[in-house]
Amino acid sequence: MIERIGTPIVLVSLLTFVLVETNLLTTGIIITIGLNVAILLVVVQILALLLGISRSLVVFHKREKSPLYSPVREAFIHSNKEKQENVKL
Amino acid sequence: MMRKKEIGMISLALTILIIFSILQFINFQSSPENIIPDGTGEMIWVNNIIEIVVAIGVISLFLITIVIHRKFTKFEGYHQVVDEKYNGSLQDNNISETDIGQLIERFSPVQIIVHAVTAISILTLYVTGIPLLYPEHLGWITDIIVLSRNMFLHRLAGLGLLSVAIYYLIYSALHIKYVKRDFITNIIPTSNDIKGAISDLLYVLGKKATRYESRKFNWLEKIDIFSVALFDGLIMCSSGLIIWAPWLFSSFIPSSYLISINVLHGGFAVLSLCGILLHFYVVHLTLHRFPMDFSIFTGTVPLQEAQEEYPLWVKEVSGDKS
Repeated sequence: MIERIGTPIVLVSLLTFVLVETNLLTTGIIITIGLNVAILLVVVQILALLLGISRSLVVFHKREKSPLYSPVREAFIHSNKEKQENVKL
Repeated sequence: MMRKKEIGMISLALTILIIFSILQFINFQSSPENIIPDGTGEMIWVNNIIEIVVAIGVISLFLITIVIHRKFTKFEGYHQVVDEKYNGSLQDNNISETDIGQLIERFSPVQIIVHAVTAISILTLYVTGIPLLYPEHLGWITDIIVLSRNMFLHRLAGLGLLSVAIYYLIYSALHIKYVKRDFITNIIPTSNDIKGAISDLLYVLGKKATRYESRKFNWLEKIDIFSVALFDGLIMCSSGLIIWAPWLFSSFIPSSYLISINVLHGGFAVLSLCGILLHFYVVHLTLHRFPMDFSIFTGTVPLQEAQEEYPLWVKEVSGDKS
């Protein structure tokens, strides 16, 4: 649901910049909303970035703890386990 | 022969040295606000050209977003399977759960760190800089942060971006010289990328049944990389430094040019933000990546996704000659 609403939101904020930069419409509530939405998306990206960095640090910590650790191998083991459980069921 | 770790350390040391020299040159403390006068200046035609370039750029990015959206909604294969997996109906399909679980290395630790620092710097620059361009719509942000603090944060983030640009430039140069000569070939735009863009457009319009096969980075990702390197790393950083301390450049830049540089800085900031909004769509809102793509943080990407989106790269990595 959110991802389906998200696309129009991105398009609306991009359209706002199109209107402002081509001088078609530079004032009014539509422009204010569009620009604020763009800044809101930037803030969402900052939060996503912090989440991503924390994920990076987890991987880094696991690598420091065990030099043989690899996310590729972990995913492979995890998927194999899932497969075995599915076979048992 | 230098190793990657040594190259990283040398690049970091040189970057710190260069940034420290720039700070000494500029004098970080002396930064009076609004030193550049308002108005159009004598270079009106330059300002007009910049505005036209920005307008064309923004319109292009808007149209590219629509094309990319259409492309992703037409995707089948891996993307469709992941959607079905989320909906709990993964049945009668050639791709198994195990396949989805397999990962492939895509980004190095240096790329992960460079991306993180660049992203945090650029996003901070937007939050502190864009409200200055549209004070009547976004003035509340400057009011909350307070202008002097806002400008301090803006310059600090600018230094972060400049540092990471210098670091990656030195790192890339040393890497090409001492480790692997084809380090940069993956991101150099080629005629194949133009074919890729045209091919994607035809695919979206329904004129072509098969999609373009990409190497490690597709045409859109190359636009992303080069827009950040050229617009943010080069144009924005250099114009930002001039605006920060115009008195240092007054001997060789006429004062009437400063207004145009200010217009250039603001205009390209908008263009850069639009590029990042497109990036936001691709990494957060495409159906198979929602709510976010962690590959730039973990350095890995699902094998099936790589086979779907970068088939030539997967063949290169796996040594498949077919």
